[in-house]
Amino acid sequence: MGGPCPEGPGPDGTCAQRRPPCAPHPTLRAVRGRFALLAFGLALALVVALSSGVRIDSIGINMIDPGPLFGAHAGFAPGGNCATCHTAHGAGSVAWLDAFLGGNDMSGQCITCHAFEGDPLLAHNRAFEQRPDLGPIACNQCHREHDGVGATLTRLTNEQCASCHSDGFATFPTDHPAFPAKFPHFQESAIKFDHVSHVKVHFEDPKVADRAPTSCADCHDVVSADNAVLPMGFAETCDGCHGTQIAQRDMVVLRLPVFDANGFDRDAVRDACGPTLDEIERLEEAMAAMAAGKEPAEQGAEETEYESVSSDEPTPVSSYLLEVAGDDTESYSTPMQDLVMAMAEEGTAPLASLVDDRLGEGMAAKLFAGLNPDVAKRLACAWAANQEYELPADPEMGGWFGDYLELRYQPTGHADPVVKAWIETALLIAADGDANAIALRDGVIDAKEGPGACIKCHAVTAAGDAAALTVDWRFRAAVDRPYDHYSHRAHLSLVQAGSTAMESTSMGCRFCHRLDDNAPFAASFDDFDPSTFAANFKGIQAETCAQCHIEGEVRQDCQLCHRYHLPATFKPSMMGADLYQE
Amino acid sequence: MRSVRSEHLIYWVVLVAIFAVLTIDIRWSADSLGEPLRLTGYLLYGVMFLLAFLNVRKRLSMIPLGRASFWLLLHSLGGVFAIALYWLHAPILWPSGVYEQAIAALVYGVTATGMFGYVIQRVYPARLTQTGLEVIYERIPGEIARIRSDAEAMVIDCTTTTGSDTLARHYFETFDWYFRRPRFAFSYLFGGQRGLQWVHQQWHTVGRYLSAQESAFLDRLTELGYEKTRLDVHYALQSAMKSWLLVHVPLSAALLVMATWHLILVHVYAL
Amino acid sequence: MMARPQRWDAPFGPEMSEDDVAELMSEHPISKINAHKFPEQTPLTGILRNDTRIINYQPGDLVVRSGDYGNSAFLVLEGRLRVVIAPELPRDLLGRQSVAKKSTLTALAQLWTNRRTPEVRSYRQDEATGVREGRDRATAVVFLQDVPAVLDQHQTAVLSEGALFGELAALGRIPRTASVFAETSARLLEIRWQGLREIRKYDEGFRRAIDERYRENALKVALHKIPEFSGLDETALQEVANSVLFETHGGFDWYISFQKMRGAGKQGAAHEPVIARQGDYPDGVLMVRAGFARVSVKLGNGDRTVSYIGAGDHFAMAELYDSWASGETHTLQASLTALGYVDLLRVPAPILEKYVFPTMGGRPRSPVERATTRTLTDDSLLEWAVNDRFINGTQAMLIDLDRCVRCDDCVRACASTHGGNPRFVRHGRTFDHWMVANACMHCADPVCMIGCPTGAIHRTEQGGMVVINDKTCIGCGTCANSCPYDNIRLVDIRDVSGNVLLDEDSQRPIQKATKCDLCATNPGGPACVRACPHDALRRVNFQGGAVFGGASG
Repeated sequence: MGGPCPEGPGPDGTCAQRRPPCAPHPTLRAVRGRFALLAFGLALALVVALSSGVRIDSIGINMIDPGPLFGAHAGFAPGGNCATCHTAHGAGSVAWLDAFLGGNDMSGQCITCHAFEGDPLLAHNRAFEQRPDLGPIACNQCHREHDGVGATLTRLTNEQCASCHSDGFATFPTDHPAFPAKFPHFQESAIKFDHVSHVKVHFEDPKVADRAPTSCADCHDVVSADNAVLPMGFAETCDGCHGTQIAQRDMVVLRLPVFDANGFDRDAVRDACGPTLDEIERLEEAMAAMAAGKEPAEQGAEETEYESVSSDEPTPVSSYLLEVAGDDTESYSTPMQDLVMAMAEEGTAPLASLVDDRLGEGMAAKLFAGLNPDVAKRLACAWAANQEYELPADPEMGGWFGDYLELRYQPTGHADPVVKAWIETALLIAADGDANAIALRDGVIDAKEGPGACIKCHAVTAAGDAAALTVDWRFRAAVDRPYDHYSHRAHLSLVQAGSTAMESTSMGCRFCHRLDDNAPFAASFDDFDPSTFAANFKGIQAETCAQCHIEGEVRQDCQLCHRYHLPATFKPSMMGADLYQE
Repeated sequence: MRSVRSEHLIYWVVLVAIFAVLTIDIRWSADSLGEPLRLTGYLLYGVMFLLAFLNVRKRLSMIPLGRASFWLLLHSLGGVFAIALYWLHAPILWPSGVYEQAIAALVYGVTATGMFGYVIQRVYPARLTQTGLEVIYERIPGEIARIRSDAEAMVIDCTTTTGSDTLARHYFETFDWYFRRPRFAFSYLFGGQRGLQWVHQQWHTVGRYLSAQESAFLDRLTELGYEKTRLDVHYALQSAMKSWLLVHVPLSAALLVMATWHLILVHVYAL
Repeated sequence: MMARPQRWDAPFGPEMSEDDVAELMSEHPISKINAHKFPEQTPLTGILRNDTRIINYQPGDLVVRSGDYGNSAFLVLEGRLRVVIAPELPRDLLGRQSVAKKSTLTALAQLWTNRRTPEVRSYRQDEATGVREGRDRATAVVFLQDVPAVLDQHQTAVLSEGALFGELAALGRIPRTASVFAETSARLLEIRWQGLREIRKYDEGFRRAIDERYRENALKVALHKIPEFSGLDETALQEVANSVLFETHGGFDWYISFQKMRGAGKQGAAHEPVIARQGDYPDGVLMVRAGFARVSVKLGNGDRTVSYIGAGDHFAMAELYDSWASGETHTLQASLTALGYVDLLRVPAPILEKYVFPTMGGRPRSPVERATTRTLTDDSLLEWAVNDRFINGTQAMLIDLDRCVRCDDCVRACASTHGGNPRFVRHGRTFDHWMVANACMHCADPVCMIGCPTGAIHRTEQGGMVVINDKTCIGCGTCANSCPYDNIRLVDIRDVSGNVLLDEDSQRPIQKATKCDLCATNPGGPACVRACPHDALRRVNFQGGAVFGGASG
């Protein structure tokens, strides 16, 4: 510092001591910081460019590739239109923010097309009373998309089930709960078909050897069987043996009862019916006598003493219709005689109006369908004349016919509508507690006679809490177990060909369906209570299934027998409404 | 190279155990209603930030945040954990979308540079010690300049003292190149000793033409050459130990951005 | 002319005149000294002229502070002083730094409060109150601003004319035990330790006075601390105290000669003052009170260091025990040489035979025996550390170069905890793969603290770290020059706007001494250690020799 400079100024007068200007260069660490900042910025720029709609998808490069959609869904995203499912796609920053903060409704997109019997977003599509805590479930908790065209979207694993049903299911034989004792015969069958007696007694009877079925499949439709194996119709099954029995069971609808006194006005009867055969005979005799010049015989002698041609009570039908006591002559004589008189004058009309009044409009047409008014008139005329109606000929084709002191109906065959109507009506009106109605019902369902033949096979049950009994005319479908599934058809191939034969108890249907000889099958119908049903098959036990469904042999996962969803359908909205728009 | 320090073995065992449990759990979770991708994804995202926190920790040395060596250990373990977790998270080694490819490239890049750094930081310090010289990195250019000026002064001295310019000519043909800046970095990075051999070769080449007096100068020049060699080793190795971070850190920064965006995308589209 | 002491080339008080000396010679108690007993080359007048100085203190001026390391004693010539007995003066009155740990938040705030320009001081320079500039920087004093209040609140004793104080700290190289301040204007004669030692050596009265005070005040306490004597009763202890001899070897200012010697390559036992020689007959056990001594044995053409001993260690115990046990005289197995300065107690053999050996469990181990099981290589680190005096360090920064990746995270951590200024250099002497970096070692024998005029450099109350109070540091450089390891740096300080601060009078930059404070004010201990990602950096206590495999006494 200070003092003269030994070098002195340079030739151009500048200082000789000049040093190159200080040019600090950054440390590697500083460079590193700049690089990091640059990389950060570049990445941010890439992200911003992406979000602001710079697309290179159009030139065939997948910017973001979440993987191909499942085959059936593959058409949803043509040209990268992800918005079909991802609503936030291309919907702006507000939608993004909303989606990011949890408002992403993927399931909502699924159920625009998919529908279920029940709420699609509830577990098993149903609210369970025992578990009100269960909240909505998202579809994609199980159904994972973007796993490829051939991915199985509907596969469920035991573990997935176990996330709620945490019973620790590992294998079917060890961990599956025991089947209920009655399984699967929870429900009273509609037809009181006693498999035990038929298989073990009747079908063995050499007299019916030519008609008796030899295979379960003779009566049950195994070809289209899946969950349930329905029996075939009456014509294909019972008819062979029991077809002719039905027509033999007439129903007595009206009967001329015993009267203490003749309430009929002879003149009126004559006016309505014309003279009776006796009268005609007598008239002819009188005519002949007159022609012969004789005086006609006196007629008053017959009138002095009246003896009723009938000695029976009236039918419960008439008692009910006329609201009289069937065992009290005093009570029914006049109304009954009035009815007969009216019928003698007008045929079926009085009866019809009486029925319609008593049972409701139109009932007469059902209950007395096919009743010839003339027949009714003639019958009534005969009864009014205190005579037995004489059958013109034996009825062969069935239907209404007068038979001396009775109006009868002969069933035309299986499922006769008039008999069905009478039985249904009888069961219905008996619910009121009317003594006549109960008597009518008891008569109708008495298996020993008349239409009770139907009840021999068709179960009568007290439906729910209604007082009226109902008849199960049709085969009743199996109890609705929508979450369970068993394919009979699939198992058919397992049993040996022809082994649906009833004799086979080892490999055929009876391998699982074991007859229960001791079950009070028939008796269980007598109380009309379906819950006391005792099937004549033993309950099927899990051990039966476990003979095959075990580790290393046959599938035993939950989804084999159990279904998660209630039956699924598509919504019309998926049909592309705009297809049909002009 | 020192192997895994024995006191750290327990951490590695714990890491492997955690990963095994995680893998099993995720396999199970994938079969049940769990969302393993969400679990692994968030875990991976968290681990990434834990890894990045090493850098923050280095800046926060004024507050007691635990020893940096512990954080580095966490960082190393976490790095290995992260790449394993990444493979658990991403179904395939190389994705098909460009954006996913960018993330994958960054993940692999960060991991590879990290492993490279880990290895050289284990190998190089002892090599530096073996030079018998200790020098601060920033002083190396100055030291080389000093050696060079010493060498030049000595060569001039040799010429003036002996009257012969044989050594000087040779110096400006060869040694001048050598003393100008650090040389043979690659040889040193891979453990070679090219510099020693080179200097010795020059000594051998020119020695036969020199007088005894000149040879004394040559010997001193060679000594300077050997000293320069040691500096070169330091320069090469210390540069490497600083430079790998030049890649590792920027890639990490980019990865954090990309991963964050990925997380946003997933939330907007899938969750 | 006779050879006179070399130190007289630089007189203690350059202003001392012949008149001053003549006046002193007539003053009590110097007048009592028999000047004829002094050798011709070091006459009493010469000592007074070169080894003393006269300092005038104003009322309130602090003469010595409790805890200071001083190398001089004071004689009261005029005026009245007070020695503070109890309670001790508050540390801030003494110009000490009150070490308050920063809260974590305050520490964290350094992230943004640290400045890019180096050595910025945000406090105003006139905040450093209580410092009065002397003739030169080395004679600045700290003064008490409210003497009556101090007298009111503290129990004090009067020191009046003729009183000598500070001599025990000066001779025994121990911290001053009490603070002394001037009550009135006072004129004091300050005698540096060399002069004091000469006077004690040649004047019977002086020696008796000093030694008695020493025996009374310091020796018994010192003996109590020695495990072998801790069980003795009062009379026995008195007997030991009466018979114990105390001696010093080497120089207080060994650091100056050490650096010279190291520069000249003269290292090792051969160049150190010999206390006891291998092969000689021991007459007593040597117990170190302060300083260090090297234990070495002859090996080939040199000396092999087998151990070093510091405060509390002893030498020759094994040989004396063997002599007592066998009845034959055993010679010393090793030599003892002074590493710089060493203060010793010599306990005569009869005392040991009477009080110590009978109660001893067995034969004490000799450091020489330990060396027989170790190779030269095993002990090469010890040899190196002793030669370079690193054994002084209690917190030496030891870097394992085989682990260190030279990332400088330690330096950055240091800077970030010290306002942006690193307080050490990651460079230093290396041995094998070890480096002792240029960071304050917080020495057991802190020579830097000797002679600090304002007491700015001091030990912290808790932890005993050596720290510098930046506000009372006047930048005189005494400490930096004293440090044998070059670990104290003087820096030009700047104001908050980055301008270098200039002294108003000299127009030269204001300097402050800076060094590692072991992050005394920072939460969580030394940031450098925490910051090392590879566990390469440690702060090592060379005391006790654990780092050398138990090499110390």
